[in-house]
Amino acid sequence: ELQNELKDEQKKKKFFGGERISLVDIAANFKGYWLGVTQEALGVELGEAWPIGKPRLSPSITTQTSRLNTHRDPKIMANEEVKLLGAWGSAFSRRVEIALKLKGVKYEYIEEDIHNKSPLLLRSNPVHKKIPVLIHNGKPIAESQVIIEYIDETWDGYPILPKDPYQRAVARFWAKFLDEKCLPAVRKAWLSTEEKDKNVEEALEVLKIVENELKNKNFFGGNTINMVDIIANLIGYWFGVVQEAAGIELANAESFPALHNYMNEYVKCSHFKEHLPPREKLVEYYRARFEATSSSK
Amino acid sequence: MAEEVKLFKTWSSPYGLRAVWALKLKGIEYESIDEDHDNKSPQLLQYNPVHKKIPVLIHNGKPVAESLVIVEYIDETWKQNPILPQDPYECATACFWAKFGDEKVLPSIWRVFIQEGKAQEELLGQAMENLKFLEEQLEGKVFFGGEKIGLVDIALGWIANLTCMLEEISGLKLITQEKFPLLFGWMQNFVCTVFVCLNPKPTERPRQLGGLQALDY
Repeated sequence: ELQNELKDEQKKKKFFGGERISLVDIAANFKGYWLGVTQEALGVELGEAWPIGKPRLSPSITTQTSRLNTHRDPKIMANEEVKLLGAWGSAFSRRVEIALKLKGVKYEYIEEDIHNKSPLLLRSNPVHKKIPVLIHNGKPIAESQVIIEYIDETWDGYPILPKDPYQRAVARFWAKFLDEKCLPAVRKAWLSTEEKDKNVEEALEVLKIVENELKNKNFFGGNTINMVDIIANLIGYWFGVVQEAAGIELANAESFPALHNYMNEYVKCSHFKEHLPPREKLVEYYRARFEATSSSK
Repeated sequence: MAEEVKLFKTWSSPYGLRAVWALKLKGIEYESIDEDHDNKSPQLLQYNPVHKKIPVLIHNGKPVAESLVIVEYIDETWKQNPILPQDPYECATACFWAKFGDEKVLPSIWRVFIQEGKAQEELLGQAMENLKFLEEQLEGKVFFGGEKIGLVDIALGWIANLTCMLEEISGLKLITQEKFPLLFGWMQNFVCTVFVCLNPKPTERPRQLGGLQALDY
């Protein structure tokens, strides 16, 4: 009801005060700015009725919101230069974009051709020569998990990692597990030609551990997402894509209901869906990679 | 509230030693529980059901697994003698190099020592390249952490004992003063600091560089 009253008041006006900001606009800073901040901090979107940056209620409120957002952290955001060297199909690169978006950080995205790496990439990551690389005010940071923790430490806003040291340790444990155990096991099961059955069995054992962890939870972070869910974009999206490209279903819905539920929820989650590459394009990419691998043997 | 800190480890594991060094650096009293690789205790299996491995730190009944996760937990829980830098960029840099140590340096060195002949020669190039990156990081520094031991030193501490042991067994010298002067010097400094400074009651002088027991308690 209050919303509708506000909507009526806003019609045909740039601000509550008409062409200029008035006392009402100043008083409305809660709605124009703090409500958005609160939503972001709690990780809860109060439905489409309170959009951030979406001109649903009124264009003037959106403008007001976006104008105020640029003054959010003047110390940090003023004169900041944030660049991300990434690749469209890379889950590691997309993770960093999710983290930057969660914190509301403006950045310049530079698409790298991994077959023709730029001098900037080679200079910024001479050790691995890989994306993603975040360059913050000229200083490069590489490795997606390291970058994500850096983003969390540097910018206020959504807590990507919990504050409590024990909860942080638990999150780091699972993030490590996903990248260091789950990914290699699953990759081996799909790509190997020798000892295929053994590799598939080992991958299923690892996936069972993930399944148990996801039981009775919407996300690894519980009801809201945390760093593990960002790292888990591999599970939430790439896993299904690669299954389709390989033509091998590793984990079916009957044996892995929690995992399948996670994958279904992941693509719908507002924090993730805009950072998922187009599915058909990605399936094609992986299909071509599998064919190249098998034809080279 | 009285703190209860226990550490499940083995006598030989370099990963377990990381947790030991972190606890010693912070001056934290803990109970050490040595596990047998071939006969793991029910408590270990209960505390780390995912990996069933040491080290596992138990703090007031809550288990933390994975050696570098444990070191970061120790640093965030007990604030004295910081292990990680306060500055986010320096902290990220330290985490990067610790990861590099585990994911690239350790496997590349291990592969060199388990191969022979032509295969060994080929793998040597990669190991040397990795060590060169570490050598560069020590420019102008005593430790990777600067004046004091930090996360990267703890993470790479295995170089100081494991490599020497492998060199002794195989007869192949990987880290020499000529090839890697800074890394060679770092190994000496690390052993001295870890054994002499962190051991409140040294029962004997540290053995000559080499031998896993020299860096355990």
